[in-house]
Amino acid sequence: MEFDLLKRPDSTVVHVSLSPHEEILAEAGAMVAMSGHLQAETTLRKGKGGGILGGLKRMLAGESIFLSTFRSGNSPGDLYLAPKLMGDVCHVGIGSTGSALGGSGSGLVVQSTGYLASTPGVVVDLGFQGLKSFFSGESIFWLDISGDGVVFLSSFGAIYEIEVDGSYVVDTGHIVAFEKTLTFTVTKAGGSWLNAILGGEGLVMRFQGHGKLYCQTHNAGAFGQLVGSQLPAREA
Amino acid sequence: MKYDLRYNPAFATLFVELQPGERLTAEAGAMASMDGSLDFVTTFSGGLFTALLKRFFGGESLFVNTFHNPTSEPRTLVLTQANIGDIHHIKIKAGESICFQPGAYIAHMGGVTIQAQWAGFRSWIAGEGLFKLKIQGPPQGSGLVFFGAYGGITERRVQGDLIVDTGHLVAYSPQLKMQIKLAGGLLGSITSGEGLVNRLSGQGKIYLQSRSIGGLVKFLTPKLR
Amino acid sequence: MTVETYRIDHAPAYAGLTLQLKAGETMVVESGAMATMDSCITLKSKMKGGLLQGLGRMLGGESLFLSEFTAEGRPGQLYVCPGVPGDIEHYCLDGSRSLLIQSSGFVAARPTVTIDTQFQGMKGFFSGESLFLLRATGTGDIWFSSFGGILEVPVTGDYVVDTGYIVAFEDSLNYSVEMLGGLSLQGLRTGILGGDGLVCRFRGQGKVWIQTRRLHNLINFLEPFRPVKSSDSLTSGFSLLKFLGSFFR
Repeated sequence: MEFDLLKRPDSTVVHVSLSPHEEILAEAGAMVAMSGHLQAETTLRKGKGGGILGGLKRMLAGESIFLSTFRSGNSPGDLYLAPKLMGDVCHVGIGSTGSALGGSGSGLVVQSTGYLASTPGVVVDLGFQGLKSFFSGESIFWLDISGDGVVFLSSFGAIYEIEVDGSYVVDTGHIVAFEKTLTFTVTKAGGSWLNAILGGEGLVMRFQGHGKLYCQTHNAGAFGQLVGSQLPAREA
Repeated sequence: MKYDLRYNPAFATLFVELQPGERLTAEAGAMASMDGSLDFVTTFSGGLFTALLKRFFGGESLFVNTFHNPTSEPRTLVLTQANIGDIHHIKIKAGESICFQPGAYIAHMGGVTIQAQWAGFRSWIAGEGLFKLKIQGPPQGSGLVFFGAYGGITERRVQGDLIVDTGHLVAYSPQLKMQIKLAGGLLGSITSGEGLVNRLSGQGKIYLQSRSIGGLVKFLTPKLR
Repeated sequence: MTVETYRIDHAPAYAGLTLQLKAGETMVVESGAMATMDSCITLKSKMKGGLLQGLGRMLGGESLFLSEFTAEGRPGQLYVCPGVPGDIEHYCLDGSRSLLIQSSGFVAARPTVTIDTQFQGMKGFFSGESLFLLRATGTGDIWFSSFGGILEVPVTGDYVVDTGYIVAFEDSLNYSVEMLGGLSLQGLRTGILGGDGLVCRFRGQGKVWIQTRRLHNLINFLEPFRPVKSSDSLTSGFSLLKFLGSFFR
């Protein structure tokens, strides 16, 4: 399998070339165009754990994701995958593929809207223990990425990497993914609650330790509010 | 302060390196990420009354944050805007000034003053707010102002007359005269979709954005449920 | 038309088109797309399909309003910007084939190009009713825009494109619309546009221009941010509180 990231950083698409009998997993709706003979199949992946009730609870909390698998069959084929919003895509190696690509290969915690696609060896689990989604108004949940292969992350805005060595603060609307080697706390920005509410910085994640952070330059919620509030009213 | 504007024009973002002891003021909400040892203080921008004026009529944020580096090493700070688009910076010297449309201001450094100024009722009808933001240079030396837009920013000199769709104007020299009028007569304006335009005259500089939120809203509205 | 008579800048995300008109020259432009124009340029609006038909279709969400800009007496410059972020592409029609363009992608064209909006046979090409296909025939320059970046794909066999990503294609291609079951989302929450697996299968030889983003995704994303219609005093009270609270954002 080969891939190419085109039209960076604002309207990035991934061009994937599949050899015969290869497949790739992507969030549903990501396919732009593909060779006519590729086979597509879409399923609903739900969060694990807690038995039936746990599964239901996660579904109600919005923790579910539609994933499509694209298979090449007997002949090679190619396809274009695009994220939902304007922005960039980057690829991260997981496991031994990651180390081979020069990275740490550490597993990642990825914000649900930040996942675009991954190769079959990557394990995508819904829900990450220890981090609840309390970002008000946004049904954001977290994906636990492990295994071996390449994962494609998408962002609203451009993606920039921060190599954390000490402590680093990121506004919650700007996080795409982070390596599991980092520890974090969710806190208010600045020194006082007044700062947090009035300063508009709201909640931030403070990361400590050593590891990589993938941040996006823009906040989808802020842009959504800017445009959406000017659109005509909708039915409740 | 060292700074780097990356990802122009689509997702222009300001990557700043604050030197020990340095301060930078930015509109509330502009911080995307920053080194853990930086601190910041929230204040009303321009004093409470100006801040309220700006919020009610100018569309600007009520608050600004002043970031400070209390450590002995340079620290990084990443600033962005709610809009997705270009960011430009202007160096303003003593005696110079420039006006911004609501929402354009992002951050400044070096003693420039930011005031809310009366923009006229016509400006309000055109959807541009009753007040505009006027940035004035410091008493001496020069300051730096960062502003952003929705779309790519184009700088243009006006010499004489120019007709501009109000949604595409981002910043302009205060000495330019503005006349808000209908694009093509009443029926023409409604059917052409051009609506209100601004006729600028005089000599000065303007900054245009290649998209407008109004344009996006107009584009999407018929496609919504 | 030589290259100096038009310029595209801020591509690919926020492309703007600058057109240089000679004295007396006219250009047909999508209504509402003008950003700046020299004061010697006059505007005359024109509705495709006649006045009444134009209004009727406007209510149904399907419409194309065109404006004619003419440089009176002296040359003038026109700066045209589409409504959505994206790229602008130039194509020169030479009479040998027509160009089929997604309706919201039309930016500008010379008056020698005929734009046909009553193009039959393509109902249901795009999910939702407000997008349709235009056919551009004749000779001359035409400019079309995209949502996102534009990729030109030369088709030489069997190629499938999700209809939401189609910008334009040459009519030398055979095309048919299909629903690919393997792409549709079963048990999906209603109210979401798209997700029905509607694709266009192209066969033959010709060019397809695809865009790298889809409008339905933007519309679905913005939906929760829209103000909600309030029909009673309780919700009006809430709106007032929200209004006051918005000062602290």
